[in-house]
Amino acid sequence: MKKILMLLALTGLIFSCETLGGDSSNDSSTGTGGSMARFTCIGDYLYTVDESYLQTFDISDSTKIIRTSRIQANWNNRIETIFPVDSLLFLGSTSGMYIYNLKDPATPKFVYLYTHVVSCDPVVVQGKYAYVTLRTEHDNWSCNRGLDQLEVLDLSRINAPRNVGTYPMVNPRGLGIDGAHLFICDGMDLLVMDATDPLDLKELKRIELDGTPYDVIAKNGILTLSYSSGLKQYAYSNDTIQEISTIY
Amino acid sequence: MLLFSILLFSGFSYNGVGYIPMLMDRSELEVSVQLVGSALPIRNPGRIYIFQNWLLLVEQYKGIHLIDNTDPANPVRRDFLRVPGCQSMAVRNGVLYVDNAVDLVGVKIDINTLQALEIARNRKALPEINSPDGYIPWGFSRANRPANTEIVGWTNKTAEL
Repeated sequence: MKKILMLLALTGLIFSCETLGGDSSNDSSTGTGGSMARFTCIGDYLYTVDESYLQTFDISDSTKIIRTSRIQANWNNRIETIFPVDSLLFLGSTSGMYIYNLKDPATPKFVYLYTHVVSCDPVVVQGKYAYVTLRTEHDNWSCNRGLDQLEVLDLSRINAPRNVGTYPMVNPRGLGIDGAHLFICDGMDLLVMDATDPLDLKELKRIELDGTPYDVIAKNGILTLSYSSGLKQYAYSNDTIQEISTIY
Repeated sequence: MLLFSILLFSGFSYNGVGYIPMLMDRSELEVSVQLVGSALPIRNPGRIYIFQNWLLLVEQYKGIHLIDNTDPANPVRRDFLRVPGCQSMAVRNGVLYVDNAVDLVGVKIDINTLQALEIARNRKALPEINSPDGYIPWGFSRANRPANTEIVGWTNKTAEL
């Protein structure tokens, strides 16, 4: 419920800057992906990102998967992740965060590219803020020149996001946010931050894992985390977080 | 591995290290998406997807663990959907969309009775799977590998030796 309110709040913000059509984000027939997701379903469409393309497929007839658009990023970009918020898509790429709108859901339209140093970066959005992790991959030629950090971007003006915070990280991957809890897969740790004030994030806890964390989903007080050894879940509320299960 | 009848071959490397692709004939790829009928251990977990009371967890390049998460304190691996070349997924209206190497596949899934049936396939909708180095070595490009094969994953050559 809280999440829906957040989405509504963001919708309001976006409407103040841009008039967007379509309302499909609360479709209960779909599920929830993590911040590392490359596929997302909205309404009658499946959106995928891959090495260099954002593709759209019409899936209104479940027996067909029909491509309706294929958009190539710049030659030196590798699109890593897709995060849908209402009628916007946020794409994490090796050279920045793309924002596309879905006024025409069959053909996403470019809104903005927030550029920064070359890194691999997933993005999540809550309220009027985007949280982006930038990661160095030493064994991957396309993103080995970057920084390891978390950036917070103010999306009040969707056509001109603004950096309002930068936090050094070890080697961050997936991240998730639910209300005041921000979770980041960082190196061999699960990092929990207090995001009550998005302009002043505070480290709450750093939980050492017996493997490297990869993707997280924070939803309804349960954090689900995939890491190199298996799958863990944590229950969180206010300032407590407790591991409740691990499967291998 | 045997079930997939995956062809492993070497013959190309740079500096003696690197990755070699797992290849599958296209004809096999197109009938490869199947429920195993039992749960498998989690080896190389990837992306997570929450659908109703279920967790879907990618097993890198192999498929998707179907995990009953009715009680998050006691999640139960119920079955495994084999999807060679799998890395990503999303669900809409009871259809699971997944990457079967370069193909995008729709699988009608009744998760409560554990039934799965492929109902849609868009061939070569997606790019080939890059090696973990971020590219496909020239020696394994389409022109330089057996005809009608697709890359369904990569394996660390040094680990194989």
